[in-house]
Amino acid sequence: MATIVFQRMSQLVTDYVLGASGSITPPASWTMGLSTTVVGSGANMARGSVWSATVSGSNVNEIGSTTANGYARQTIAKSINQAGIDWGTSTFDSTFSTGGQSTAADQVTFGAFSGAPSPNGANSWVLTDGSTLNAGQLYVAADTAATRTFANGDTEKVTATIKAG
Amino acid sequence: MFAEIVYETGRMSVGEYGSEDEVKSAVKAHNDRAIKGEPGGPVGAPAERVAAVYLYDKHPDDFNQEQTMSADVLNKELENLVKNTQDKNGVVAVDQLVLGVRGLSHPMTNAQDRSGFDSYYKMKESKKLNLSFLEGSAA
Repeated sequence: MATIVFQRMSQLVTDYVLGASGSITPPASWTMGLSTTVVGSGANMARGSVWSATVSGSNVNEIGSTTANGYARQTIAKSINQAGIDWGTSTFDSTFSTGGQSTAADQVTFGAFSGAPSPNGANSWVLTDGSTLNAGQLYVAADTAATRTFANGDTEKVTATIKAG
Repeated sequence: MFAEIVYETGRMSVGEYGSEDEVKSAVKAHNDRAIKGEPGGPVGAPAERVAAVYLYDKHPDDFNQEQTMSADVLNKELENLVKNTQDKNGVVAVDQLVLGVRGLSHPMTNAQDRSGFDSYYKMKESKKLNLSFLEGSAA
């Protein structure tokens, strides 16, 4: 699975975690979105990508932005192991080259869809903020195992695992 | 409009729809699959019965986007947070207090404040759907 950490996530570490910045701060809530854009490799997502309705370059494009048909972003609470949808207890991987601390969020559910969203076909999930489609900050993304296309009555479940290494 | 769908499993999702009828159509289609034991989506995970549907005019994540509070309300909240954070010696862990303050503007309710199939969000719903539309024609 291809994954990417976007610039804003790195900046949160340097500016907010290390420097206690008052301007580069985590969002009020994390949200999860589905994107038609493939993470990589090649001319797809990049560390400096932005959300956009325009399919061009390294822009990240969200499903359902023209016709939602039941699509919307899902909220993840900023807590650990409380009842609801939040982050799990993190674990440590000591592997020198690929290790780090990782946490899995509770599974989020998209839908039920009332028909095919437009655009349709999710190729990646994206950790972002806010509820406005094709807007907000990008933090982390990972490819879905295959393109997911949705129809009436469908739901989609995503379990995000974030590893900081 | 937006709908918060709470499933019998306790899972929850939010979707944007053009009308209440569209919400009902999607929810019933999914609920019917659950009754018939069918997959809930392209990955093949089982469909889940729907336990509650809350309607909103905007996405319930949009609660207090400005992350502001009146000084009076914040003072009361701070008083409660200090009271709840201090140990038996009256000492407050500042980092714990900071977490509590940040949680004040989060759009979701605290887990301990929810029960059953309550909404996960602080935003007041515009309507809670009567689920009688789920009855019939699934078998």
